[in-house]
Amino acid sequence: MSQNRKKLIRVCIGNSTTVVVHRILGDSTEDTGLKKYYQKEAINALRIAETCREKINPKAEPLSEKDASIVHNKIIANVTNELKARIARGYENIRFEEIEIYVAELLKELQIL
Amino acid sequence: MVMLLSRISKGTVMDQIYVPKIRAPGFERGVTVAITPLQSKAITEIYRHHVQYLEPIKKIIVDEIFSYFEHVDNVLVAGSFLEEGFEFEDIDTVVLTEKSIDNAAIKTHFKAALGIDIHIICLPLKELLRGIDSDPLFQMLLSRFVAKKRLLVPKDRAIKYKLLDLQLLESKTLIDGFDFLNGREKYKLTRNAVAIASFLNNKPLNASSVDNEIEHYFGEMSVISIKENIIGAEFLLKYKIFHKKLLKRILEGVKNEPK
Repeated sequence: MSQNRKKLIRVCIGNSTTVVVHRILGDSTEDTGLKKYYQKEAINALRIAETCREKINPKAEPLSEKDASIVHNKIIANVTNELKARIARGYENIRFEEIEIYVAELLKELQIL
Repeated sequence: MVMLLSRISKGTVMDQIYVPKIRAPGFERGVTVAITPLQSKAITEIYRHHVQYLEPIKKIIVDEIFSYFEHVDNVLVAGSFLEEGFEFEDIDTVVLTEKSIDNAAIKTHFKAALGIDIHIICLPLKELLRGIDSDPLFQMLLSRFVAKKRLLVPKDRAIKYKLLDLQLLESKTLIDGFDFLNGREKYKLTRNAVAIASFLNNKPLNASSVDNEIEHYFGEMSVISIKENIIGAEFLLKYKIFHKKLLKRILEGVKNEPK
């Protein structure tokens, strides 16, 4: 894997983590206040994840099984850590078994899986 | 066609119209001009909240927007459009109504009519009044605005740590996507994170106060540097530390929040 490709994948993973955590927390919080009225399209993290994905070959089809697996596992691990930190501080209604569903959904959107 | 806008004012022998000394070509001294009344719907009275001056052309645009939304409770124009000059990306417009509106159709209409992108936030007035006390970003947006009708925006603050966590999460993108963001985007994310900190510290929430706080945290001239995208690893390190401390404070708040 070239250095640039590695970096793109790393940035894609970081931003995808933010997207998944944002979605899970948003769905688990009953009161999201006024946010639901002014969310400007997708959050920036999703846009950057998509931008990175567009620069990673193969562009028009899912990544190789090996690459897709690396990305998938890293996002799951990152999201799990982020959510554990929050659960330890009193967040409720977060189910770890749902992380896989959110991640799989996002990876399909990004054509990684 | 270039237009000059002015009012007829009372004179002693004759009434007069004053025009600026510096004028567009075609308005030199000695040139014959036609004076014609504007249509009565133009330049209607608007309610201003901390907006001292609005360029005449912007008043026309605001009037167009207000005229479009005739049958709503109120409509506000806020954001960078109100700052002096023309360095805005789009026009932040808050439409207060119980009815639902077709966002896409409205955007298309104003893009065609004015050549400008318009960003619509539509919500009922009672939802705005109920939720604004816990939303630092919305409070900052409505720190100055023009409106069709008078609107008193409450300035109370109610800290809801989970909401602040969600809002701060978006500013994490500045860390993960630093090389992929332009200056304007970096500035917005920085500004939002600093606004959240100002909200927690009970500091004023308006554009200039938050900019002062940015300079306090990240150094003199940092606002311009961020906008021009001439920041590098040093800024990123400071931002990571700032973000980490703020997140820690918010998560502690979540922990101690009554259930």
